[in-house]
Amino acid sequence: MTGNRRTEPGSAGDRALTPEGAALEQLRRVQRVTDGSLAHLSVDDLLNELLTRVREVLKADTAAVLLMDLATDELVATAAKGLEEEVQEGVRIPVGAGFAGKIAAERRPIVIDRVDHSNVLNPILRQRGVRSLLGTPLIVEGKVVGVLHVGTLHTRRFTDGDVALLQLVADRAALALQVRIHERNRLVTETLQRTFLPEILPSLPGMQIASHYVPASSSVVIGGDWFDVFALPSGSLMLTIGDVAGHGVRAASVMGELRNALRGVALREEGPDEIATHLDQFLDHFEPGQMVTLLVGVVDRNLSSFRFVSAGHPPPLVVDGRGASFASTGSPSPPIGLPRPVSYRETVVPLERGTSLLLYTDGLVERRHEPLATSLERLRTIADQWLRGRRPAEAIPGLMAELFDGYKPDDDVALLVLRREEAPERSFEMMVAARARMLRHIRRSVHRWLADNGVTAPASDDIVSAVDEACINVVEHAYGPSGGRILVAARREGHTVEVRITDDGRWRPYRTRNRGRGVAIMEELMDEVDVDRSPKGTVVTMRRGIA
Amino acid sequence: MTAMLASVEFDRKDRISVAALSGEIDISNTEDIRRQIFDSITNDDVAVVVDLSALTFIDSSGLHTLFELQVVLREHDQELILVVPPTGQPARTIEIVGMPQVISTYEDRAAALEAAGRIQR
Repeated sequence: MTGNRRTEPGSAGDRALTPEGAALEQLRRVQRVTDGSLAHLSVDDLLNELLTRVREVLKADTAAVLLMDLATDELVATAAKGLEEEVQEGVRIPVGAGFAGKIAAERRPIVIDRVDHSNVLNPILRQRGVRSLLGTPLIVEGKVVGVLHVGTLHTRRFTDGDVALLQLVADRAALALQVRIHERNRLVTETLQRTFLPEILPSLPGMQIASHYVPASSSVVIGGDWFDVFALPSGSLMLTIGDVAGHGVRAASVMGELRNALRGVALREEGPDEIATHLDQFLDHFEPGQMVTLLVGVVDRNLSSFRFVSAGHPPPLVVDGRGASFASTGSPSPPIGLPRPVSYRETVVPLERGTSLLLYTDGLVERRHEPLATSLERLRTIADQWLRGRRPAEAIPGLMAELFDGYKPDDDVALLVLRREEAPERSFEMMVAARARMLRHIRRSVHRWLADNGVTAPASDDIVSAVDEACINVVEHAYGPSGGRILVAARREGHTVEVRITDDGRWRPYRTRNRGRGVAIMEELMDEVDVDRSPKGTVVTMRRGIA
Repeated sequence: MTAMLASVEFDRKDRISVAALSGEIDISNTEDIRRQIFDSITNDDVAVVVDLSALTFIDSSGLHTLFELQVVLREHDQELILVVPPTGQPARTIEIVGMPQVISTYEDRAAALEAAGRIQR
């Protein structure tokens, strides 16, 4: 490339001043470009302001900033003055190619006295009639993050002083830019993560759940941690927690895809080992080369056990009356996303009443300069103290405070605590839309609450049947097509179970042929049936004695 | 294959159709099950055996479907025979609505098929 010349110091522009005067003038010009008033501007405004000032101070006709796209190794025209088309047309210059590309590749300023196709790739520069160019890399912490260049429409010989000035400007600008770019990335990543983490954990009779998520403290390192909790149509509860390797916006995107893919696959009600296999194939096909550690498990509808698969993920901690211990998973399975298919092994952990399960990502335990065994033991001891006998929501703050006393984690921290209730809930309540499809959820929840309270078949079946029939009446008679809600409540008092089904609709007389049978079933299966209708709605109260 | 609330398996032998139901039947899927059963019956059949051995739940809407099935089959000079295991929720509700008095009911498939075999052709 031509024009790659070194200028002599003290040439044209500086001859009028003494050396001290020249330096002072230089300083003033740099300050003029990068003063404190820029501190509060957004990335876009900052770039525009910088370019305006640079152009003025260097008496150039054009000025432009290209920023590095690390994913594609290209420089992207981000802001320009006198060359706005460059940005509008989304000009991209591969590193190493053309004027800006060479600056980025060689990490040094370049001057071109005379522009032609051999030394400049960008057609816009030539179309605009730019004759001379001076460009310099933007470098932060040893990495090229962009290129800053100025140009003139007449032939100009940029001096060493000009080059030095532009470099100084570039240094200051790079720093200011980098902070803002991190901020912007961090906001995007955090938004993605917040969107994908469950806002509200499902409430389930017999189980207490709480979660905690803290993004990494360093603004550069935001990971792809996620967790999810949801009930399945069968009434079992699925828990997942995972960690997408890598950081930033990309990791957070993959995390979102996985979370949705997992939810879709989970509806098939296959085991955790099959779910892990499906996700492994999903990753291998759609995100080849991406690795993810994953723990996926199911609490059965009777709440008696947790069946899970760990794909390269730290083991769950089980805390019960006997203490805290890590669930042993035998020889661990590798993370999902590896090129070779793997079969995943399941582990089953029994869940007695009062048992707590802690699922977490490695940010909770890993520490710089510390063997993992030590970190795990610390977690085990602290969790034993805080989780035993406490509701998850009460235990987590103390656990976190003690675990991170005097230590700031580098990575995201995500954790999920699940606890099987000590004592069965004496009362139960559930409000759902009065739709046919909701009846199965009502049946499952009532069934689980009854089992939890020691009510077994045939009494439990009878009560569930009666509740179902009462709900059919609400679905079919209480509301018009715009629908409404059903409230199902149940209470156990000694040897009696009382259920109440409430709606706030206006009762319409029977229209369909079906009827009479539902009422007969309710009256036969329950000891007492009481229907209270008013303009405000209907309450059906039923009682059944149990052994 | 998605996890449906109920599913039906069909078989036919010797002009007897067998529909084996599994899962749960409630107002959300009773219409669909009804249609599936009706669609599988041919004019050739002398009897339809509906096997509820693998059914874990049925409510008044499902029971209504069974009554209705019998009415339609009778119009075509076809017989409905039910298999209802003695224990479980379906047995209870079927008993309460008096179904065994109206529809031939047996406790296992073998007995039901034998009864179907004795029907005049």
